[in-house]
Amino acid sequence: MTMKKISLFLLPVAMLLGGCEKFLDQQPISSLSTELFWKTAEDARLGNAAIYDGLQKTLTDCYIDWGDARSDNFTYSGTGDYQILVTMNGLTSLTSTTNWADLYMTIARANVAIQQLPSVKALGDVDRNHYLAQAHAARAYMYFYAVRLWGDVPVWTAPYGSMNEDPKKPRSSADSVLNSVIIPDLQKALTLINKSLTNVYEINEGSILAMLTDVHMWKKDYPAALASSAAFIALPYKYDVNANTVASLKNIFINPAGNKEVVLTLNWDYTRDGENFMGARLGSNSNTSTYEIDSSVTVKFQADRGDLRRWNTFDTALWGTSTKIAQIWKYYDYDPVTSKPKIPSRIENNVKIPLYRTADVLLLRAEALNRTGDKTGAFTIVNRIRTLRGAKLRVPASYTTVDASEDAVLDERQLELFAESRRWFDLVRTGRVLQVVDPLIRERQREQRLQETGFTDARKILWPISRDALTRNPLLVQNPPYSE
Amino acid sequence: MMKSNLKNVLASLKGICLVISLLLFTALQAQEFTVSGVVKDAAGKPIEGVSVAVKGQSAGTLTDEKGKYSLRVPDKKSVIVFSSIGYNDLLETIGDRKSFNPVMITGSSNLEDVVVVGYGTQKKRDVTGAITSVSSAQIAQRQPKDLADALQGLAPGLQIAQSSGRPGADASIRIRGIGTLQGGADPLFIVDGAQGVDIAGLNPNDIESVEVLKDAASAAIYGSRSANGVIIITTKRGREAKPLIQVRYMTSGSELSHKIQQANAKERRLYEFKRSGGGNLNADSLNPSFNADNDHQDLLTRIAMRQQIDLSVSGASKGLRYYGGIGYLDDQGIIINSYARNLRGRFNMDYKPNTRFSAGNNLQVSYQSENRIDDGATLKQAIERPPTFRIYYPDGTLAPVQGGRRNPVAEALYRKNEFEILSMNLYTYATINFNKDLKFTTDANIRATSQQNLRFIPRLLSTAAIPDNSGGITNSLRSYWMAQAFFNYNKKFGKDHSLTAVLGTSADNDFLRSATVNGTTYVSEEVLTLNSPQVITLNTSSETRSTSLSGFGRLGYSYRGKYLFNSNFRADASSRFGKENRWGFFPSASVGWRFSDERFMGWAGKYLDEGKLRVSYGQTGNDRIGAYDAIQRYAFGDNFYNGASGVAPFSTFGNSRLSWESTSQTNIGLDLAFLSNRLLINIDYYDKITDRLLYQAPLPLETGFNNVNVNVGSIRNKGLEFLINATPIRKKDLQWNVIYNMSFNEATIRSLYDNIALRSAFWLTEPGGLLGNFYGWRALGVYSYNESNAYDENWERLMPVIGSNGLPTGEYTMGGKTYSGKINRMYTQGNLLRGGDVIWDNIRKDSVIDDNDRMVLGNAQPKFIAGLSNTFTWKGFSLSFNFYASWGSKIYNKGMADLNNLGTVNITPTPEYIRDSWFKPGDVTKWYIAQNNAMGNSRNLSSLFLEDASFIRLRNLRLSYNVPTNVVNKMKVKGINIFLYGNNLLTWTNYTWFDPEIDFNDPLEMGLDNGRYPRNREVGGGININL
Repeated sequence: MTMKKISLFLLPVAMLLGGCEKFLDQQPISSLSTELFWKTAEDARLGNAAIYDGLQKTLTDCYIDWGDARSDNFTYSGTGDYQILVTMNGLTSLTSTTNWADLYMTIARANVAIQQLPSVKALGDVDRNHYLAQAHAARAYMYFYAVRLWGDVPVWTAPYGSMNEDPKKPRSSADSVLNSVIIPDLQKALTLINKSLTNVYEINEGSILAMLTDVHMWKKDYPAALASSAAFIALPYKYDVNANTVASLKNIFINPAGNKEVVLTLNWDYTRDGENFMGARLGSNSNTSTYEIDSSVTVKFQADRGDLRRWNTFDTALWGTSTKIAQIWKYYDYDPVTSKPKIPSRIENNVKIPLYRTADVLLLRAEALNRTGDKTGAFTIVNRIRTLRGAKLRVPASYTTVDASEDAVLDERQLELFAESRRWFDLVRTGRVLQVVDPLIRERQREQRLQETGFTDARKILWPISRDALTRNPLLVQNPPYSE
Repeated sequence: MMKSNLKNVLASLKGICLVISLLLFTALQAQEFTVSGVVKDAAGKPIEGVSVAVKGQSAGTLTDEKGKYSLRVPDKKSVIVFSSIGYNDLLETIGDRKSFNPVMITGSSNLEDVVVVGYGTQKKRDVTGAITSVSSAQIAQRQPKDLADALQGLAPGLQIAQSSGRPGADASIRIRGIGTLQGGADPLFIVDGAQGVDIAGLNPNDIESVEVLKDAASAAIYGSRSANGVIIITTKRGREAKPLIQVRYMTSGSELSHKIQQANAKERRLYEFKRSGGGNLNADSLNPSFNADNDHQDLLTRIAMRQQIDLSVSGASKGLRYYGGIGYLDDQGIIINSYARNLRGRFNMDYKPNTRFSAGNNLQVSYQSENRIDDGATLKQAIERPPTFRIYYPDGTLAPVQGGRRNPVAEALYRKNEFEILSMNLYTYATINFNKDLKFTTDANIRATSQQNLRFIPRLLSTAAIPDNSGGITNSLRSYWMAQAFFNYNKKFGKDHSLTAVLGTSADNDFLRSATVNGTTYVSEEVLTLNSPQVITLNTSSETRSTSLSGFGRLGYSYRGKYLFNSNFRADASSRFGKENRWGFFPSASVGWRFSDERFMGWAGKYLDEGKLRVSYGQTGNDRIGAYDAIQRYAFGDNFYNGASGVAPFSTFGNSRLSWESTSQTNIGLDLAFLSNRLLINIDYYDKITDRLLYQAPLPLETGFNNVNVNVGSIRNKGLEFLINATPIRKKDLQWNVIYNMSFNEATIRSLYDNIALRSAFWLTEPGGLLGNFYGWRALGVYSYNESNAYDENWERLMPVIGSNGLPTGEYTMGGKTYSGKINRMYTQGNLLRGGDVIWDNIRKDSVIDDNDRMVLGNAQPKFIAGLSNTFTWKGFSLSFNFYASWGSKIYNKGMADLNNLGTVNITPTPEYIRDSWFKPGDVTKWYIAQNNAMGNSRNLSSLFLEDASFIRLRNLRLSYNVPTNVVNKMKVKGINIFLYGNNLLTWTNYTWFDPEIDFNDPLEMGLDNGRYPRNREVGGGININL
């Protein structure tokens, strides 16, 4: 054979050895290496979208479980272990929703944005500040959930960036997280936010003030809460309560855009965002719900049959029947044919997750007014909402103590904000958990033929830290008395 | 690159044309005559049982006790082959002779065999590493469907388990345990010298031999990809002048090999009675929906037929050798409507026009179409669904989802999960012999595999109140090329010294592309292409490419074949690693000492034919991580919000310092051959330590990352394996060969990143522990009475005193004596344990059964695996059978755990559970109360569901008959072989679910049985014809 043919065979090998380093330098094809991102204005928009995606991923299966399921709003439905444990104070470190992975993932995404946005040169100051404001507020919002659930939590305000950095941090006290992270973040967001934007699907000035009101209430700092809520009411956009028909009430949940009753809502599109796990909690036509409405709430709704929120919340025809009430109707659009809500299958659920509503801020303000001696002011707010919703007015004179008035405000919040991740935190904030939940747990234990132990330990108001988090970070110490 | 390959394609096409013309124009001319004679050994004694055959024909004869033979030969050019164990093969061109009396020389026929090692061959007697060979004859005995099926139980140190009984299912193949966590544990496959060949597309009938390279010294020539061992496959090539045409046909039927116990309607009603606490017998005796008594396993499974036809043509003419094979396999699954159809073709051609140059092509093409039944939607549902629920409506149509339970028959018939896989592989090589010592070879392999997966769930199967259909298609393409160039140098200096050397380089490039489109609300259920869905849901797409470059060399030296030395060296660079850490270096060395050739061993010469001691040490590597794991990346496509595709950091932290995982292995081996090679023994001991483990170490969740790719940590595999090959009977008419092999292996974790254990709901992987340790709670029984939950101050259990009325009196005894101290109670999940709840082992002595009470309950690794194969040959009959055993491992029977967890009313537990579950105070049983009371009675992982997975299996049995030559010759064919066989006929095990043989793909998730597609018992027969 001639050398010519031999060299033909050798050619590919020679070619390869020549371009050796280049040949071995393979860059990602269908994802981006870090150096290529955070360059353009579009990058900033998409990095910002990732933070909201984090909020969606965190809240889609925790919104109800963190904020409602342990309260008197729900009881277990079906026979699954999980919901029985959640509704009967049987949380352990292995309970899935004790895991804060998604919550901290969202914080990390916000941290990356806060770190990178200043270097995106293609961005104008107004836009940059608006994105920064959203990242700070989203981070604050996640930390706010964290301190309300676990108390002390580790704090990360910059992204984990290098293998040389120790990834383990101990828990910081809840107070320090509130005072040194959450409130400064929200105040910073307030200064940076673009005040002309009022889109309900993105963090806006109103939602930052609503968060501040919420946070100050949690701290029982009533003057600060009153100031934040006053600023909220004074906004030029004029957030207001106005829904006084079943249709307009429903629009709060299904058509929030431009609605003055709505401050901030997470949009959902199952074709893009995937399965919305709210469906498993709020009702689907394909699966049994995790929870059903506890009869103690339906009793409250039934007490005032003129209240539009009763119709809007559940199928009143089921009241008094043996069928369990598990579908929360207000989240679903009406079917004109059946005049009942169209409940989609679990995977096709597009429920939007409401984060802040005008009524929520107003009722928090009512609670603060009541606590600061302005009972009249408190009941003015309560009755204004009740009038709109078609409910009978409350007579302030029949509430003789501050606590009794607070009960009235909390009841109003329960009816108005049912299944909106509020009730559990209301009970914790006002110290009413044992009083309200203990008898319910005893009742459920009797039903399950178990020893009647009740809520057992007030320390269990905090959630346990997940076993997964404890294993990964040995510096974390479990909340007592949880040992499981 | 492309240009030269195009040329080769053209060259091979020319070759194909040439062969076809050869086939067409070569006329067979018969001028038969008979040759006879006597075969004697060097001492002049006649030898019995020597096989005498015309080369290229399978049918031959054997010498009788006087050494006599008589054989019909086709013509004068025929070559007669005399072969017998213990003697060197003798080949003779017969010419005009009618009689021939050969003398056979004692030799070590087995050890004279040539073994294929990386980039060359070695005589078996010169091998210094741990290599096991499997021949085509051994493979042919089992009618295998694929390579894994062909090799199971044949080679020590090779552990093979089918992932399920589904037709077309892949298998896990592990050599000497698992030495990695996430770096990929599959061995490297080399087919005819090429990497990257599609193993699923390889017809086992085209295999000539398989070599399993187990120790580092043998494998290290393949450097970075060889840490899990190397399997070298050589396919058949043409040998004879005249074309040899082989036709094989076989068919078989198979059924579910082990049916699991399932509740019938009566037991189901008993369960409902017990579950409702005895009050409510919810039996509407008039509702046809709830009054069936179905045996779902019977309804869902069938006798499945398999048909396989193979055709091969091989031959050679001056300077040209060719082999062409094509096989079609139609394999039904035992679950209705499951199937795999396989068309696999191969064409090998070697062209050698002169002594200086040779070149060739191997072409492999396969097409596979499959309906992969979803185990979860069919089998799991069939086991769970109450037998009382109907499957069919009275009009014969299938019932939909009922009470949350799917209809398994409808699921199997109408849910589609179809795969179509087209795979092509072209290998081309050229060799130049510069002189008789030095040779240069360059080769290239190109592969393209295209796969489409179509999924569809029609409205009938929808669980929604308003039914909707859904489906999707995934398309993927894998393209791979590899090019190598290397020199071989073989030289003998004088009589005593011989030297072998290899020096070469290689490069490869692996590209993967896949795209998935999913949708719902199809326009028509008859049209399933992607224009049909009206709503398109999430789409995904990904592409990756990885490349590598290598240089390698080998040096071997042998002094009189007595002292042997071999050394390999390889340097590899992979694009997967960080820039600074790309290159890895993998050296190895081995020595062999044939002590039987030493003069002082002369005394043993009478019995010992061969004795060799081998010692080797080497380092091998593993690079099988994600293509871009060393790069910090941003991902998108599943982070949408409000119409914008969010871009977010990957949940795995990119580690730019990532580098090779390396495995160092020491091997000590002994090869012995006794009694004219009638008894062969190989023993190997190894100690394999993997360092710098590549795996995804968990990061604290607070960082926002889930894990980080690291290479830290170490695993040790230690083991012993041996093989005994004996021929107790070797007579003219009767021969018996028995091969036994056995392997012991133990994989232990030595260290991990930051020494953080990997803990999941089922396993604990911690430094110092075994790989595959099951981690959970130990169940000690069930509290008989509420009062049975009583402990003394040291947390020893107290026995309640039962009064004459059969109820506890409130008093307790401890060790038979009345107890009067403080009584402690046990709690779990916030509640007090009561009668009917499980008594858990309270490891940490406190009042609560919690996370601290978990412990290691068993291990998923078998203590040993063994294979025993026997072949009896009597005249033309041959009976072979082999057993396969795996001993000492545990399986977590999650199938049963899911059934007995009481989470859903309409899931029916096992009959044993229904009968024996605690029902009233005083019941003594191991099964807890039939109620989900949130006490975690069936928690994961409970020792109640951890079962012994030891088994011995009659892997196959085969009876074949060679039609005598005289009969065959009358039929104008060269040979006919008829056979009957059975696979998986008998299994001895205590395991209660479908099958104790379970794959071990993921070292972090070993031994979990979700209730997979069960294995079948197969009986069949067939015929092989040589034309």
